[in-house]
Amino acid sequence: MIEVLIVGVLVVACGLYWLGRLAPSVTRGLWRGTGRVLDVVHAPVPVRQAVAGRAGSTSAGGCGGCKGCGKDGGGCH
Amino acid sequence: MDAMVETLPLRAALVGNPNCGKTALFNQLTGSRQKVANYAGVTVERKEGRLTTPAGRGVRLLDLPGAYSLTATSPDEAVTRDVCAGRYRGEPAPELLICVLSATNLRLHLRFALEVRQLGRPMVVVLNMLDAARRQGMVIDVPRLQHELGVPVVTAVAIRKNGATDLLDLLDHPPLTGPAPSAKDEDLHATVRRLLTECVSRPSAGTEALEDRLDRWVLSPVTGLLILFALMFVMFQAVFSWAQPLMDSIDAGVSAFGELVRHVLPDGVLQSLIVDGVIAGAGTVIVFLPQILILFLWILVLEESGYLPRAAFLLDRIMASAGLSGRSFIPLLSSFACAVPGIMATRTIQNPRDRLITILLAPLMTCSARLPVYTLLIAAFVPDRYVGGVFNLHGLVLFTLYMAAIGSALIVAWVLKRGGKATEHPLLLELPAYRLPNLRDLGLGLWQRAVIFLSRVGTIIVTLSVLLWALSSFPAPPAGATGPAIDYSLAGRIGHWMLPLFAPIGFNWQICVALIPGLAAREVAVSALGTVYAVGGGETDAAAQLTPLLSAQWSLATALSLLAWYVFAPQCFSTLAVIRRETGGWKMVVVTATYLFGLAYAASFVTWRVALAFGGGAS
Repeated sequence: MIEVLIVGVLVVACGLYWLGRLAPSVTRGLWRGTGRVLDVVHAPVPVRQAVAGRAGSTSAGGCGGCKGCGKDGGGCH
Repeated sequence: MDAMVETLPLRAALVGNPNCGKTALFNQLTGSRQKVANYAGVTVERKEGRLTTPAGRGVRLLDLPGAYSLTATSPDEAVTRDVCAGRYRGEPAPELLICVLSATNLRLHLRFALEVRQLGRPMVVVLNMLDAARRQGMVIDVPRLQHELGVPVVTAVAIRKNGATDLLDLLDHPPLTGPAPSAKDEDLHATVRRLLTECVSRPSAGTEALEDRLDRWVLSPVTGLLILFALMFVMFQAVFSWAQPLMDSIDAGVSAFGELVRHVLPDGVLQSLIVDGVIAGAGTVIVFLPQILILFLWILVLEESGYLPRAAFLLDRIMASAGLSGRSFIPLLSSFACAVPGIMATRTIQNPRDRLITILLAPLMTCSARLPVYTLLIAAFVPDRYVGGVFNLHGLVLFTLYMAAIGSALIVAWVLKRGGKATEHPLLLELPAYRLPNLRDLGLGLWQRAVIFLSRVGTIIVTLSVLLWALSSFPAPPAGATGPAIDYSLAGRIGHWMLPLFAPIGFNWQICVALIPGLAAREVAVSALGTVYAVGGGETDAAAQLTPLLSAQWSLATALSLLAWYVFAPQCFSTLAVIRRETGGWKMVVVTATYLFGLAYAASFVTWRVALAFGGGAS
C-alpha cells in the first residue's frame, strides 16, 4: 500500500511538472486554489508561503536546460 | 535626499562594437557566466547583472548587444540604440555608458565611441584587450586619448582575473556629467584618423603576420573549403571513436545500478517504476554524455579560436546560391547546439524576410538532442568497422546525416526564396584575431554543457520516463488476457491508435509511443523506447541492452526510416515557443510545424520504400 502511495505521489508530481511547463496558467490556478484551502485549514506558514510562491511564479523559458536568460546561471547555452 | 541617491545602485550599460569583449567584462564584473566567444553577434539581447565597487557602491550593469553604429540596422542593434537613447520600454536611460573598445581594432571601435559621445551622456571608455595590443607591438598613449576624447579612459583585460580593477575603481566615482557636445556634422572618420595618429604608435609594417599567412589558406575558396570539410569530418569521427570507452563505462555503471536497485527493492510497482521507468529511461540517454561533450569541445574550440567567422565568410557564396547571406551562418551554426539560441541569434539579420527564413531553417540543423537518437540507431544497425582502415563507418554515417540536414536546409532556403535571390545586404564580417583557446574557458564551457545535459536528464527525461512508465503499466490487463500486458495499457492503446498513420513509413507502435514525448525533447524518444521495451518486453536490463534489442526486433528499413524522420523531426516544444516569441505570433509556429512534419513524413516514406526495395525489410 505504501509502495502504491509513493508511486502515485511521484507520478502526480511528474504530471504537475509537465502541466506547469505546458500550461502554466492552469497550474498557477491550481496552486492558488491549494493556497486558499491551506489558509482555511490553517496549514503551517512555510507551507502556505511555498504554495503562494508557486502560485505567483512565472514559467521558465527556453529549453529547460538553462536557468533562464539574464540570470547568473549563464543565459541560454 | 543625497544619502538616498547614494544608496540607489548606479545604472550603467556596457556598449561597444561586436566582439570587443563586453560580455567577458560583464562576466568579470558581475561574476556571471554569460556565453562569450571569439566572434561577433554572441549577445543578442540585454543582460543584467549587479556588482559592488571596492567602496561599496552598488551598480546595476546592463550588457547590451554589440553595434557598429547607433543607426540600427538589425533587431539586436535596435536594443542597444534604444537603451542608450532612453527609449527602451521599461528601462530608464543608463546613468553611465561604459563604452568598451578593443585596443587591437581602434580604427573601427573609436568611431562608435565618438558616436556614443555625441549623445552627451556621462560615459567612460574602456580599452579592452590591451595585452593583445601590446603583443602586436602597439603603444597607446592613454592619458592623451583621455584628453582628446574628453571622457575618462581606463584599460582592461577582461578575460584575466582582476583585469578590470581600474574600471571598478572608476565606478566608485563615476563622471556625473556628459562630455562637451561635439559638432553634429563632425567627420567621425577624420577624427578617428587624427586620434590614431596622435595617440597610437604601431610597429612599422614588416614581414607578413602569421595571421595573414594563415588566412591565405583558411579563406581560400579551395583550400579553405577543404580545411572546413576536414574539420567537420574529423569532428564526427571523434564523436564516435573517442567517446566509446567512456560510454562503455557509463553503460556498465547504469546496468550495475539497475541490477542493484532490482535486488534491493522488493518486487512490486515501486521497483518497476524505478528500474523500468527511471533507470531504463534516463539510463539510456545518460550514456550519450561523452559524445555530446566531444561534439561541444570541437564547437567551443572553433568558437574560441576565431575560426567560425572565417567559415561564415567561406560559406557565403554557397549560402548565397540558396538565397541566404553569410549572416545566417552563425544562427544556423548555433542551432547545431540547440535551435533555441540559434533562432534568437537571427536578431543579427537585418532583412526581416531573410531573418524569417533563417528561423524556419534553424530546426533543420542537427541539434545535440538528435545525437542520442542517431548514435543509438547507428550503433544498432551499422556495422562497427573501419573503411580503408582509417575511417570509422559509424562516424561516416553520422557525418552523412549532418550533411543531409545541411543540404536539405539549403534546398528549403532555395525554395522559400523562390530561386535563391539574396535580399540581405552583402556580408560585411569582422574577422577576429586568431586566439589559442583558453583551457579554463573550454573546461568551463564543457562543464556548463554537462550540467545542462544532466539537468535535462534529471528533469525533462526522468519526469517523462515516470509518466510514460505509468502510461505503459496501467491499466493492468483484464483477467484471462493472453497478449502482452503493455498492449492493454494506455501507452499501448495510443501506440496502436497512431499506427495506421505511421505504418506506411515503417514505424511500429513502440516508435509511435516514443514520438510523443520526443516532442518535449528529441532525446526523450530514446528514453521512451527504453521504458516501453523494459515494461513491455520484461527486459531485465533494457537500459544497457537497448541497442541489441532494437537490432534484433527492427528491420533495417525501419531504422533508416526513423533516422530520416529525425533529420527533419518535427521540432521540440521549446523551439516552437521561441519561434512564437521571436515572430510575435502563432502563424510561423504553425507553418514551421506543418512543413517539418511534411518533410519528415515524406523523407521517411521514401527511405522506407527504397530500403524495402533493396531488401532491408527483414528484422
